[in-house]
Amino acid sequence: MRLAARDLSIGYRGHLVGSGISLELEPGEVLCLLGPNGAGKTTLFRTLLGLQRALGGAVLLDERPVAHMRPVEIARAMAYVPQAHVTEFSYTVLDVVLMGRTARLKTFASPGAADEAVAREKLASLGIGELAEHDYTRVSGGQRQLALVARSLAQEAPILVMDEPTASLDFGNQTLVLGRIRQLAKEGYGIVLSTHDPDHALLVASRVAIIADGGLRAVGAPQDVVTAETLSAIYRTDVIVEDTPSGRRVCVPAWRN
Amino acid sequence: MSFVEKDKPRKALRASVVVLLLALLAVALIAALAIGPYPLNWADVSRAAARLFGTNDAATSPGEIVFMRVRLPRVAAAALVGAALAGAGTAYQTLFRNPLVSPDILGVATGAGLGAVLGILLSLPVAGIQGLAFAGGLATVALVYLISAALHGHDRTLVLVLSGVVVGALAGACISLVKILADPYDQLPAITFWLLGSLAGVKISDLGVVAPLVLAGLVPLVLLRWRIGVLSLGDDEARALGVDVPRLRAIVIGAATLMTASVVAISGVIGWIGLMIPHIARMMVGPNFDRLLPTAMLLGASFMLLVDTLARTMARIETPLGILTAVLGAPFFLWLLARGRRSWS
Repeated sequence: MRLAARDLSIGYRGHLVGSGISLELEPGEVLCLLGPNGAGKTTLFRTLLGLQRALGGAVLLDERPVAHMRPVEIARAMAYVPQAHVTEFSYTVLDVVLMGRTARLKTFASPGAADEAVAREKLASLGIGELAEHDYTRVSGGQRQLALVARSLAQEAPILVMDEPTASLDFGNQTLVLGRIRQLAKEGYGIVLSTHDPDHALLVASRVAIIADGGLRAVGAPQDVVTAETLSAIYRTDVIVEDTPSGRRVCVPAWRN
Repeated sequence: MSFVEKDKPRKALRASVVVLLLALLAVALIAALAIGPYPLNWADVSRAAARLFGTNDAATSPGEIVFMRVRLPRVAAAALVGAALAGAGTAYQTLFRNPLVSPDILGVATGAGLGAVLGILLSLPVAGIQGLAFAGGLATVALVYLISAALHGHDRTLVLVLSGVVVGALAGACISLVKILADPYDQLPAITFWLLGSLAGVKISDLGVVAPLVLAGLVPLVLLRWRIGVLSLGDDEARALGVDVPRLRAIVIGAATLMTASVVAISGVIGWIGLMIPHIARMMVGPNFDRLLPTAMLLGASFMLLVDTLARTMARIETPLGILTAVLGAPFFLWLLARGRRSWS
């Protein structure tokens, strides 16, 4: 399934956040959104997911406007991974993942044994199978984030939309999630994710889009878009992008010790 | 944490919770039927039952009359009111993602109170008072809902609760006004008594009207139980998981309001149950709405039976139910707080 934004204007009534945004996401691609705080990444995500209306243009799933689709149809196509949060009530991790099955259930049904098997399998695939019965509000932030990824997988949608999936994770868990994202893309998922870390874009993205100053500033292959000039301009700080002896590309602040 | 969480034997524990709750309800029912100002025994009950099946042609005994005309309707009403208030409270707490929400969060009880108080002021018959109470409760929530829908562009949940507070305060002011206008010797005591809740005057014919209305509210909650639980994640996430949030929210509000307004019309305002019982139920079976709803309703019925039995036996006059639920509920709630739970289970 292909996700596309056509000349999209995003924002709230009377407040335009960004305009002229055109993006495409093919199966197997990882599209990484970079941009400074307040640039409208979250607004763009909400618009892509149909959670808020586009002020202009359209979001299309296989050429069908999302604005004309029912929530359940959108949910079967796109799964949303929000930033790790604490629920008001202490659900178990398994309960939270099971909620990902909602779009796959009949209106009046509750998840059955088959759904539970899917949920446990997704948890196990992220290495947190043993947390199934734990209290979701009491596991670590990283484990909560992984549980939300498991929930999006349980939704069995071909497109994953992840809002800063690495934001609350320690280095090990960041690597784990990024590695899992690469693997999911190889399995054919189309993935859109936002991040504040340009290195993460270099690690996993097949394409990078930069949102700044009310619109799409650049979109293209990581090596073309994640450059010292662009990063320095959008983050308003001097950045060096260089290749390491091991053949990796990294971003670091320009000041020296 | 709640005791069901110690993983493996979860299903067995859940089953034992169900058995425990049903046993509790059975005990509460029998106690409520047996205990009262007029003591009843098995002979009265079996004679009444035999008459129902047409195998008793003897003259009716006084015990039989008390059982059929007074005790049985009252006990059935107590179970119904308790179950409905606890069920509606569970739905609202899940919908508003807040364990401190009660069924009258959107003003249903205050609106019903205003309707009833007007009925008493106009010296309407009991059925008229009940009808006005029911209409007042529904109308108040409808008004709150329309106001919050008109104020779009804000956080919908917050606007609903705030509109409920505002409209509830207005209705409360109107109740006070009616109290001032009412006849202090005749109408004012009736108003006060109604606002504190009582099941003393319930007739079997009332139940015939109210029980189907409660059932009509309960059916959508039961059918949509899984989706209602998903709503507790918040509007955005629920929608991204495939839930039609505005429609489901309207259904839950409508259903819970119908249940509350129907029972309040015959019982008067009874606080605390809809707030406290879902809480206890959550401690027993966890926060999943599909398990929480039946647990809370069974517990609510048992608790109301207990409270109503106390209300008619504690003192020589009837103790208003609202007073008893508060006296029992407030210390219990403080005890809950003192246990220092980090999150609401």
